[in-house]
Amino acid sequence: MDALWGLLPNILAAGVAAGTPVLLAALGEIITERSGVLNIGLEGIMIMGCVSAVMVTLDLHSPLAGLAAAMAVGGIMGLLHAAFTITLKGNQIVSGLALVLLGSGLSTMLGKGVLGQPVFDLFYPEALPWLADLPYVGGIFFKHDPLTYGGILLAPLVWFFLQHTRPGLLVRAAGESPETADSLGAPVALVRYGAVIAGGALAGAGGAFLPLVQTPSWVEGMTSGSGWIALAVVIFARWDPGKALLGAWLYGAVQALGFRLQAVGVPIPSQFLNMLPYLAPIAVLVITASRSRGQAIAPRALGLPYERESR
Amino acid sequence: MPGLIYPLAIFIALAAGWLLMAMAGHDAFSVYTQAFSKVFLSWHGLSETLVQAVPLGMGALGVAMAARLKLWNIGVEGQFMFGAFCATGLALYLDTLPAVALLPLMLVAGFMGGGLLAALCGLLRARLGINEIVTTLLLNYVVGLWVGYLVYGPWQALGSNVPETTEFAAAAQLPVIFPGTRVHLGLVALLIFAALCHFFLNNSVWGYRIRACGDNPRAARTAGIDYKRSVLLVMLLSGGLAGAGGMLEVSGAVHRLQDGTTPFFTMTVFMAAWLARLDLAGILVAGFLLAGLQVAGYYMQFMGLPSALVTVIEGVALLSMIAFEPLRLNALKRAGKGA
Repeated sequence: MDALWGLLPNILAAGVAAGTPVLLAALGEIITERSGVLNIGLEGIMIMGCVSAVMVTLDLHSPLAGLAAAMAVGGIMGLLHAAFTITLKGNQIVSGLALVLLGSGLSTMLGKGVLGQPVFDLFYPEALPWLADLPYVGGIFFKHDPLTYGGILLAPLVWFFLQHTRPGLLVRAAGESPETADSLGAPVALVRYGAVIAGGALAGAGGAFLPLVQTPSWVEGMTSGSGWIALAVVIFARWDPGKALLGAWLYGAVQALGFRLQAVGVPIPSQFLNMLPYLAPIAVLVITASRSRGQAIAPRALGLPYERESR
Repeated sequence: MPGLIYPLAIFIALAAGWLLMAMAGHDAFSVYTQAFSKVFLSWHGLSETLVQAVPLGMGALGVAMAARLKLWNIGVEGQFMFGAFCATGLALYLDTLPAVALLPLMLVAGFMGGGLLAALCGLLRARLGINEIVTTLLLNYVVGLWVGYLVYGPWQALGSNVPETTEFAAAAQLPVIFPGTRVHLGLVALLIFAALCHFFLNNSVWGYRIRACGDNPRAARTAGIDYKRSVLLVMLLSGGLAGAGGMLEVSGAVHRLQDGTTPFFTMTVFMAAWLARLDLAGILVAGFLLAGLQVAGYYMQFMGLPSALVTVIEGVALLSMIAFEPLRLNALKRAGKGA
């Protein structure tokens, strides 16, 4: 047990990094859902982000280009979801599931050529000057890769965007009361398109983290449920970017704990330790929900297509 | 012609597959004709399609059951595997029982296993308002790891290095109904379950209550229908159908519990339910067609094509269906006006 306590800062540091893909996808999903559109296709978008990041990085030898490609592909998949659910008013859940199917199938086919090839041009951890030397916190928060720093910075930025800027207000209006927004002249459909595309791009970036930081190659199905966990984090966070940060770190820490315990050789079958990241979100949802007596505060128009005639 | 969108969606999906194959340098036309003739024009292909249709049909019935209450059970894969696990437990430890006792017990165990797992998510939804999409889906991974633990560990066949249990005793295997094929009694069970679901939803008080809750929860609550209890019951039945499907699969087709189930089982099953617009007879047809697509996928793998191609084709077909939905509704509206 003492050995475990000694490992704690190490586990927390690993958790902050391991939470990044979930954090990026969850922040994107918060923007999407705040605009009134539910996109449960994150898992499919993230896996496409993984494979496009690997393909482009291998080709251009620049992780930045890989990240950009992953975000572009994620944005395109977001656009697809937007077209199907906003313009064609299709069912958002079915469209999201279709994205998962499409992403899984396409990524496997596209990735055949790069399967198992090691990626050398990665985002490497860089200790931030001065901050990294702080006792305890320095090691946990300030010795990471650029994507992890980006995710941490993005959380307050998304919060500021949603709460204190005009476009952010439009996003929230489109998700809370599209009728009112429309009657005041706001382009509801356009705002929702923007939000869904941005959400897709961020999920793509979350996918890019996996091959460009964590496991430097393409592995089929390497997201292993991160997209679904991101959805759980959004609910846990109650659509608040700050709490999403907390949720993602919690998930990351649980995942890191599982890995460390395996590495130390704890006599627990690896499968049980690997269950932790999937059980933890459910447990956390149960604990937080029972405290707030199920008062969900989802955006009011979440999941509902907006039709002007029905005003 | 509202029905026109089905062939149209299939056409677009096949065209997308064509494009991908052409890009990879395959002769798509010959692949399609060969796959089609092997699946639907040969006894072997047809019988394998019927074998595949059993798990898909059972899962789709489960999805449709939950959807009647506007619940999204996307954990059918986990419930399917958990049902298979429960049935396997009986097959391994009660293998001295005669088939007439063992098989029904296994079916009940499979049904209850899958059902209770889903009902747990239903309970969280009804009591705490926790979204069932996320909980049911996350449990898929947990059950997958649990089965993995068993077949790599305590339940692995002695002296084997393959992650699977030993073959079930004869009494734990569902009998083949068409000699010379693998088509087993599970096909009959699927038809019976479909009929039972139809009766339950359309001719029973509970079915009426469930439909009322699904259409308008508030009105149903005012009418004195217990929404929370309906959620629990529906999730129990929904997961139970998937779990029973798991039992039929291990007992009828595989004869052992294995690691790694059909990938994207959930999505395929969802597609069957959605394509059929939750109509139970339609689900059987859609399940049969999708099973055919899956068998075609196996043949395509023999021809050196990736099995992921089938996943892409399914995804595109599903998206096309959504895209054509307004067309269908318009056509329906016009047909209604004309009448």
